[in-house]
Amino acid sequence: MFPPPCSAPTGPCWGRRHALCGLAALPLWPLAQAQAEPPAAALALPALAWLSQRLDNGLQVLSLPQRGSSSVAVQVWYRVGSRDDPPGRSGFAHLFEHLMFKGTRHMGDEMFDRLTEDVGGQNNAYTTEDMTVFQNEVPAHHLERLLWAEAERMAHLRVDQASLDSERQVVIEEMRERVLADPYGRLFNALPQHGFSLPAYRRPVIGLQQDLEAATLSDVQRFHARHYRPDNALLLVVGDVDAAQLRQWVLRWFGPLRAPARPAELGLAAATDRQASAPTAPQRITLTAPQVPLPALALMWPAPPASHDDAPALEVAAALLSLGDASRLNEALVYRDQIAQSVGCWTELLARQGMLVAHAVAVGGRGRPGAQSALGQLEAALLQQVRQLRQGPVTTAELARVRTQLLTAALLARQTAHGMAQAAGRAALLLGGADQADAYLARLQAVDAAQVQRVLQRYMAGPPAVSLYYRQQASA
Amino acid sequence: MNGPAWAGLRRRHLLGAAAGAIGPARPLVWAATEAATKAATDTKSDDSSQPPAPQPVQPWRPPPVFEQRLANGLTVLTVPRPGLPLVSAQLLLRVGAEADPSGQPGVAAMTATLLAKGARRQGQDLGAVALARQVEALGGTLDSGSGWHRSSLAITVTTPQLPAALALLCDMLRQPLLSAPELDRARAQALDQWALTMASAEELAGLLLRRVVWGPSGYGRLATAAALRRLTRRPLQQFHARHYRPEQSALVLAGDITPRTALRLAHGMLGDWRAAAAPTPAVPMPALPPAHAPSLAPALWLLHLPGNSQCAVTLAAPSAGDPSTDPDDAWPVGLVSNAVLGGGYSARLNQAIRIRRGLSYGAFSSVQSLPLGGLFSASAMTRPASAAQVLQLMRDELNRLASSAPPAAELAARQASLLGSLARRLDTSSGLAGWVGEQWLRARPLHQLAEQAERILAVSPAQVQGFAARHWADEGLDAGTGRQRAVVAGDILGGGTAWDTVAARRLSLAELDLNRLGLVAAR
Repeated sequence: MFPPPCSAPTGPCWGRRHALCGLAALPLWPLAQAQAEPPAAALALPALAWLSQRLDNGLQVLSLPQRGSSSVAVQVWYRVGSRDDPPGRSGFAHLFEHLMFKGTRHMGDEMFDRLTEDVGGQNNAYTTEDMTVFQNEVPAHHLERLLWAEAERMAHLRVDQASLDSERQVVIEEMRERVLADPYGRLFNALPQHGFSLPAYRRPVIGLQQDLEAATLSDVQRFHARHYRPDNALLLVVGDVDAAQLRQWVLRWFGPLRAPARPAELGLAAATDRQASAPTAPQRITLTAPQVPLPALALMWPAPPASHDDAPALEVAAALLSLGDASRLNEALVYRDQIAQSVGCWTELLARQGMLVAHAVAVGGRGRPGAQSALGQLEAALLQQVRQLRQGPVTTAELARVRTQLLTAALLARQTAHGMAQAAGRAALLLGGADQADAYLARLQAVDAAQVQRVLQRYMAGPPAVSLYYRQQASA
Repeated sequence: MNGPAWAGLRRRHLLGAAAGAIGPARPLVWAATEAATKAATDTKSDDSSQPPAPQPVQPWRPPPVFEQRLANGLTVLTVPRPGLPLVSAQLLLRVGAEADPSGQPGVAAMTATLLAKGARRQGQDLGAVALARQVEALGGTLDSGSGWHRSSLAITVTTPQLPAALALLCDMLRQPLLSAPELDRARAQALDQWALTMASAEELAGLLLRRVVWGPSGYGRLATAAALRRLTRRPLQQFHARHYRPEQSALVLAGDITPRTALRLAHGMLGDWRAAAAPTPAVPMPALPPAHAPSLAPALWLLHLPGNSQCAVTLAAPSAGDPSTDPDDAWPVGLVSNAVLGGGYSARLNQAIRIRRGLSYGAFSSVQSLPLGGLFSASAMTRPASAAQVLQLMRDELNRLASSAPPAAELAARQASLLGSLARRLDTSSGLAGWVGEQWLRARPLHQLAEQAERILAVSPAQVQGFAARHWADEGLDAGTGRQRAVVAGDILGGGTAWDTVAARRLSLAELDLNRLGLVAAR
């Protein structure tokens, strides 16, 4: 019924996508050159010309005028996520995201839907460990109205008890639907807890039901005052806009906002890094759930943060392993050996640390060994493929294929104002600047076999830090 | 990007299945939306207590569609859109599961699946691995699929890769191996998928609802696990030989391409295509009008899945049929009526169930129009204790729309929302190709597309009410007109006493047999 956040590529349920789709920004390709050369050749990628502005109150503004587009993307990215959930309030940052669609000083509840959906646009929002992102797309002539509304809720959100109670129920329903009702939801939800060492990253973004139920209106007011402020936000506008006109509107509606005197706590305080749990010996953990039609496993290795130099090579390694039907894991485990129903490998690189995840769902019975040995066999086969990639030959054709896949995916994301804003926002918050989206893509295209093998040696040479086995619980 | 763990948390419903309209070459979509916001805009823009007025409307022009035909009858549709060096290619056939041989559901779908799993290329038989490597070396992801009255192959690649990608697609379409080992693999994968389906309250409710509405034939036929096990290679080969033919096919190319290049490529790769067998006289599918399969009374089915934390609540009613066969041409009215009721986040179902009461993460509906008839269906997930209330709220909203016309402002907002989502779909080359392909599959004249958008905007409140009254109104599931049918799947017994007094067919998963006429397993 509903589209997953990103189309789940392999698994029956993983709401996250392989490798890189939607990530990187990619500029236009000079057409003559594209037609003259095979695309596997290195491409000269002119950078997108992002316009940057910072208001006196600290608000960062990025815009990309695009002549001829019918709609405009207006996004506000806040540097607050589940890592900032108050003590005893896991899931609060995400619950708060929902509350941002309630009333303000001058807007009634759900006014954002009136300003977007009702005029042919749309809105959405999401929360991750590091950030909370609000996205709107409207006909271009409605741009100023959205700027007004985003400034309103940044400064003057007003939530009452009835709204809090009702939206809390929606979030609990969301958790029940996506974590409890989805056969693989519990496995997915458990990954951060096992894969990260920083306590702030180990909590599930969706939170625990008792913590959600404990949230009060004063929590809401405190959280808004603390994190929703111009100097903790990035405004992104992409579409058919006039740069000078936009600057004027931004000043009119966001200029008067005041940043609190107390400095924003930008990012996760480095001090919390010291709370990271010490690495332990490799663990195997078994998780059970009432409905697991096919057993599954997830393997996790610690990895560097998103801005690390090794990130592009890790992305390419993950793509070689699992991007597409011709990828190594798919070809060996799903096609040749027929021991996996689906496989995947991806990098989960956050602002302060990351993890590498490989997963597989076992095939159904059909006369094969039972669940216990099936998962052991699956883990061994998966690790064998990682080892082969680390030590064995990687052909030029294979690397070229993956580069072309990643480039094409990035180009697909460039088709919409929304896609371009997403790529720039992520680069601005995690990689140090919107221009880093282009730079990252160029680095991705430059990754060679030696670099892939070097990062595999560095991060995936040993056994996974945690092997999570997932299967049906014994019936009562 | 590694999908954020809770991305898309305010989920929205996509109107993909219902899409089918486009604005003409004038500022239709956005101009029509002004009524919805006018009230809020009559203030000076420096007053921060009101949103500033919108700027003047900017024209929006949908790209033109060029239609050409090869001598063998194959249609070539081109939608040029210069800009990014990307082209989406689709090969479409006007045949799908409705042509499955009697007693063998799943043949059309499996044939389409196997196209990409082996083909003869330049005198050589290439298996699935070799084909996947060739496809992915071009950077694209191949989609093969089938449904009612359709089968398709699709890919999006950068412009320089188009000839090679198209050559691959054409070989798969024309010379698939349909080999026995690949059939076995695909069957095993489909059986695993079936096992996942059987564990999902949402999917089970959808399957059961389809059978309850359409009965055992027509669109109620399901490729169950038993049917999958029976599939053999021979019927797939016969299906391909009979039904994959140029006069039933179209090539759609959208993006960085001209009609001239499109025709040249089509001629070179598909011009000498001839069907392998004489056409089979079309056998009309036995049509059972929705909600009249006598063996499937009553209208409410409760499927008990113990331990399932969420219930899937689904409700169906008839809707307008395909415009090519519906004499009343009620299709745009059905589309707009659905937009008011459940076609988006702010539509009535989500307002009543999620926004006002917090009973679900989302409640949405859609309308499907097919040659044999149309179907409206609504669904929501909720905790077992709320399932009966959610079903009642759905029914109340259907009946409320049938008894009073929606206010003009509400209708204008939902029309704008509907057209906006269609327009956004055309932002990508694959969205463009998909939309043009749908028009062709349904035999909707391409030159009437602009008119269709105008007709969507022309739908009046009274027409919406009339449509709901004619198709959807139903006083009671147990003693009503038989229009509404509902399936609730989940922990029914965990729902307390809410279902105790309700007339319903109750069964457990162990008792359910989707292969049997009455849906209940033999004891």
